[in-house]
Amino acid sequence: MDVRTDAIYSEGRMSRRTFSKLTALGTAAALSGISNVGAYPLEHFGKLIEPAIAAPAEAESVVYGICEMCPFNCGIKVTCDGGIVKSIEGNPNEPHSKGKLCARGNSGEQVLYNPNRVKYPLIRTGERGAGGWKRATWDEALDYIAGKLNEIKGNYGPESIALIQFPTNRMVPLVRRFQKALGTPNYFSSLGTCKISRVVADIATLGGHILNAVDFKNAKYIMLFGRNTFETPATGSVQALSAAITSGAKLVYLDPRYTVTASKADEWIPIKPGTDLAFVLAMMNVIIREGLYDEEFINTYTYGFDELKGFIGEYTPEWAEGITDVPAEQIERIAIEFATTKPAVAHPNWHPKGYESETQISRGILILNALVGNINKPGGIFYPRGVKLGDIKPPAYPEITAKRVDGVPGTYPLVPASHGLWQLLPDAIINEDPYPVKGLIVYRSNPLLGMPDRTRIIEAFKKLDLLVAIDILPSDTAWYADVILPECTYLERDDPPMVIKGKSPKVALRQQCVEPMYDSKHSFWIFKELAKRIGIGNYFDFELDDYINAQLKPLGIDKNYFKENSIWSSDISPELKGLEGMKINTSTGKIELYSKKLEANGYDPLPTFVPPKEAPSGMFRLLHGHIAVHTHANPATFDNAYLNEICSENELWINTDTAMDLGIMNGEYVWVENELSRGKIKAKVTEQIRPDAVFMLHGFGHLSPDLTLTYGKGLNDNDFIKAGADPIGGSCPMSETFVRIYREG
Amino acid sequence: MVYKFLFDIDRCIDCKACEVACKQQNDVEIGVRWRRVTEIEGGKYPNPSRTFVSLACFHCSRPPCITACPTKAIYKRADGIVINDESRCIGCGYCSWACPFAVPEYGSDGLMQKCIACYQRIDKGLDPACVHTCLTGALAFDTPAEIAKIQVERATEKFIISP
Ligand code: SF4
Ligand code: SF4
Repeated sequence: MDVRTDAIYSEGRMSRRTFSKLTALGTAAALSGISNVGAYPLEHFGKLIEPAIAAPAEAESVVYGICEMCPFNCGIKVTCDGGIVKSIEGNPNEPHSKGKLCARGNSGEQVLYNPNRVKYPLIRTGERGAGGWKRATWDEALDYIAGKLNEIKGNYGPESIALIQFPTNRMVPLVRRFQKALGTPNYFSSLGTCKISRVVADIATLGGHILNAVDFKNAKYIMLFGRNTFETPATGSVQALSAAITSGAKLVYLDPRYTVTASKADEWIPIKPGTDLAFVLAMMNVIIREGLYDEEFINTYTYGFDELKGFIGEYTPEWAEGITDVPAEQIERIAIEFATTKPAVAHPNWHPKGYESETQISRGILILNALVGNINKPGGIFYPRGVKLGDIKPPAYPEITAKRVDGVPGTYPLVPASHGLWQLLPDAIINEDPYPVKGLIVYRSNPLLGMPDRTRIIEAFKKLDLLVAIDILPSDTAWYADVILPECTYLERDDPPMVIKGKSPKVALRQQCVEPMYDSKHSFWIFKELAKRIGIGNYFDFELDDYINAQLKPLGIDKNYFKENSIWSSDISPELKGLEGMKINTSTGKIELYSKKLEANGYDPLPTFVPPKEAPSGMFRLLHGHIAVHTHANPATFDNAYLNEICSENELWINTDTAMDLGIMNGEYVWVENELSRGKIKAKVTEQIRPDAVFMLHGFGHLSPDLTLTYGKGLNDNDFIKAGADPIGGSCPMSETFVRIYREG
Repeated sequence: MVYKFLFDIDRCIDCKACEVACKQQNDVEIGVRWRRVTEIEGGKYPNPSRTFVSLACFHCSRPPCITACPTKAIYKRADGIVINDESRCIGCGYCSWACPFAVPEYGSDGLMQKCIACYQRIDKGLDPACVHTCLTGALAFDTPAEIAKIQVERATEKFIISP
């Protein structure tokens, strides 16, 4: 055999790689629309080429940072070479990734070097959404925004300015400082279409939100109620669940759709959509009837068992069979297995945004865990531990007397105002109810695709005097904005530190790997400059480094610590030792099976089952969900060459029998229609879904033509979904959506 | 000593991290995939099945691509890694025809490309990028003896779990 030892690729591939990245930079200047206002300044281009070519191999450096391709924020290890990012891998010392990243994390360079990036501040010239822009200097853009903000404030009061921000941005505390200093109550994250009801259920039951703290790895019996762990890949949960399965844990998975997670389960239960709580209540019925609950745990750590016992009697497996489409014997068997296999755990769900009773569904699952006593023990759900970071104390904030426009806390007393219900904002803007909202600042979030009912959102945007988008890519929201401010990516900036809550808390820091490209800036600088211009500069009387160091101070370290260390670890033991000696933050100091908090606020203190809406005749329930290579409505994954290549378009999943009835063939484009919208999508005729529901991936159907890879591909699920809210926890009931499906013509 | 890939069909979750890690490491152009995850659907509702297969070059012990290549562009390293030297490739595509799995693919330059098992990483004592990032342990790259050991361990576990 011909054996050679020459290393052809070590040279060849590398120079090709560098070249292709630089070509990407070069062609960026030639594109039209947002990404092409003026030419790329050659002096910057030269700066990038020179070191890339001249730098010797030894110039390689390693920087530890934090991924930002999804909300999980895994630790990353970035290798740079001469000012260019060469590779991104996991930080082996970070507890979630343990050195391994998902596809999105691996694709980060395609955001950094995406030629579609917003390169300069832009001010709209034509109609909203028509794509006319003029390139502005930072001073021009910021002065313009400040002028408008002052005008709105003068005319309508500060409450007339709203802010939206993605909830896991590391800048959250500083953007909230900006909001409070400005004097508006209207701050929103995207949790209203995410897990807000779960947060409220956790608070009402456990006394605090426990995040994704489920110890899969040590569990012997795992139940997932639509928690599609393998396709919403938090690297830590994926590794833990996979390890549990390979070491013999039994996985029971309930979902109307046969997801990847379903395909790895021992038992897949295609439950009737929206009836999970009936299944859970019937399990409780069996466990209590058979006396299989953990009596000692119930007596010591819970409140309201007698009430629960009285309440649960009617919820028999036979009752549940008629509601869930799951045979009573199967529910009975699973209940007994769950109560007798130790440790058994049921994930309390992550995206409860399907139905109006989401808070009670999550509560039901939490109570199920409490019945078998598996809380804060190995293989159970647990209270994650954190550490407290420091702060730079702000001057006193102005008093905010105006109410929020989303009915928090008036109509929704339990929904945290730190998130609010963003899906209710468009209606508030349109109806000027309870008062006009005229300014909206959207910081790296894409409500135009992420929130329900796009037509309504555009209508609301039209009523604004000012819409600002601060983003990396020209998102749909940015496309409709008046001003777009280019932020730099997570590879081009330092950020406030992140506490990684878990069995033993850790702290990580996002650190800058390369210089910001184009005229992009750090959002800290952007908010600070804006603050100065609207008279609240005194709240930002420091530099980002000062803030980072102030936050790290209680740990006895500063920013430099992370130059030598990839992570800070606390000395708290990771052992889970039950609840003894733990303070539970409910009014009874116990886990509340019967929730005093719900009772006090006029809600049902026990998780009564409320049936989902029935599909009108001839219509199908529209379900939506995720795939492992994309994140929500974030252009960073959809307009990403590597991920777009894998999944560039969504399809409508239709059960084979249903498709046969409708005369629909696999792969053809079909119409989806309801009272809100109508659109075409490719049919995926499959055995992997119930006949009474159809499914499409969320996040497609982008409107911004400057997202050239994803523009015009697929259909937006949110076009068909109405905005609404679970009356307790506030999550938008997004799966109470029905559509007609038909062929062309 | 030679190296081989191990792929564990039970563990693969179709996450495609391996595909993207490969692209990132080797700067593989869009449209060409040195590693590719595919799905096989089967069964009938309510008993469907989905199986995921992540494939790259097998680095065969007797590589038909090498035999087929008229310019000797493809060669095998002492550690078993099969590499194609793009500077010698004439783009005839024989290797791809000869390969039972059609692993070598045309690049947009008309020359053949294929998985090189990230040999630069192997030379540094690291795993290939795909193996390194695989969240479930579905992939490994090791000597036949080590691979056999992993397989036997996993088979034994299964036997213990469900006799
Ligand atoms: S799960 Fe993936 S995208 Fe999310 S932070 Fe981790 S590596 Fe990044
Ligand atoms: S990274 Fe591993 S689990 Fe994911 S697709 Fe590849 S082989 Fe399968």
